[in-house]
Amino acid sequence: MTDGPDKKTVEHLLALYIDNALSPEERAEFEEAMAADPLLRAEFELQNQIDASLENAFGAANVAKLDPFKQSLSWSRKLMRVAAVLFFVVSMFVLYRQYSNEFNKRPNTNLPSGYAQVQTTMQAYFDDAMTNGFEPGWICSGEQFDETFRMLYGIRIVLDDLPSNVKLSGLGYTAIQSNQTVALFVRVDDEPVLVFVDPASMKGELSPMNEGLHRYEKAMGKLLFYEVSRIEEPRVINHLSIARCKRRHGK
Amino acid sequence: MGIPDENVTRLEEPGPGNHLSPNEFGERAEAARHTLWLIAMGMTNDRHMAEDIVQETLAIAWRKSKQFEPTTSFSAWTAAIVRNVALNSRRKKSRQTLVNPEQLDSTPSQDATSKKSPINKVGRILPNQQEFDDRVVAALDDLSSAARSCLLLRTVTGLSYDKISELLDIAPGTAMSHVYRARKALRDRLGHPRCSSDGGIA
Repeated sequence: MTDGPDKKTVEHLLALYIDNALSPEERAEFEEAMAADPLLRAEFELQNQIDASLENAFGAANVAKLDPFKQSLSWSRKLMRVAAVLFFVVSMFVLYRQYSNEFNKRPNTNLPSGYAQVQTTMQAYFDDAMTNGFEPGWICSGEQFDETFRMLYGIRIVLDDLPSNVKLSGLGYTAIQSNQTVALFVRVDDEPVLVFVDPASMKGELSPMNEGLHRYEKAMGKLLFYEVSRIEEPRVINHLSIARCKRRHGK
Repeated sequence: MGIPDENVTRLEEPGPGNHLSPNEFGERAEAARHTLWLIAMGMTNDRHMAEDIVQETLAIAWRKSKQFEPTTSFSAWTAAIVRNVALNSRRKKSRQTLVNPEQLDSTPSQDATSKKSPINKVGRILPNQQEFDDRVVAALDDLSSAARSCLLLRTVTGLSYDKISELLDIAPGTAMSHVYRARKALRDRLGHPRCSSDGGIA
């Protein structure tokens, strides 16, 4: 690279003048020269204007405030892109889950009347059933009963060992621990017995039962069984067993 | 005119311990930010890329802050980083745009030179100041990256040639020469009135 400008030229003196690098005498002499030469003066003014423009365009106010501990903006932008993709994927997943839930609810809404969306208690459901003559919402055959549990929980409930005095008359649908509690309407020696079936994962606090009504609990696999009756011992749930089968979402 | 040298010196005084605390680093980074941006601007002539480069430089500097010797110049240390990051960015950009890197340094812009000068024959600025500012910025395209960096550091921050030479790792005389030539190139480009380059003052 070359050294600085030749000291003898006007350009050089102008450069030194702009840099305030002339001695007072040289400075005075150059100002006299500028006063006598309008073009030289205009060049000096032009340089001042250029400098002002550069300061205006590139002054400190033009630089964005940066976080010195942050990753580079390039990384930020990359991260923003990743975040956008993640947001899209999560949104799609949520939408899928919502749609999937709606889809999965459809079979339930097609279930016979008696399926309840409103949360209730075992006591209230038992009382209602008794008021209505202990008639199940859905009188079903053993095959339909089996299909219902396969559809809802992906399991089979084995009924083969029920004693002859235990008669399963049908199913009701309610919402006790979950929103798809199945109620088995059973008569034991003509005494009404309800067996509520819920997923074990939905287990929560149970409301108290009135005097004279008993509740017995049994967990089997991923299901919880609650037997509710006036009988002072469980008469049904001990005869139920489950067998795993391939889950289906309806016929 | 930018960051006075004495401020930079004050912030570059060594802090306690062998390496910078986050506070010390933050203060020095803030003080150096504008200078680093100007160097990056000079090397890339792209504001946003320069901003990215400075951010990346500070991120690298913070990661490597234990390597920094507090008795030395923080701005010179980070300037070396910013130059490397800018060079890499420029290479990436030239690969992406398939533009010859030499163009960035020396090829004058035909479009730029063909623009009408906003200066009349006696050196008066036309009324549209913004347009003139834009033309000044556009004229920077014609300068080499080194000349652009020197010019910006000298004109915008008022740094001494010694400081510029330290930041850009060039000789002070080279820095001065770059500034001189860059100023003249801009005046030529923006339509200065004739000024004899071989004449002298009688």
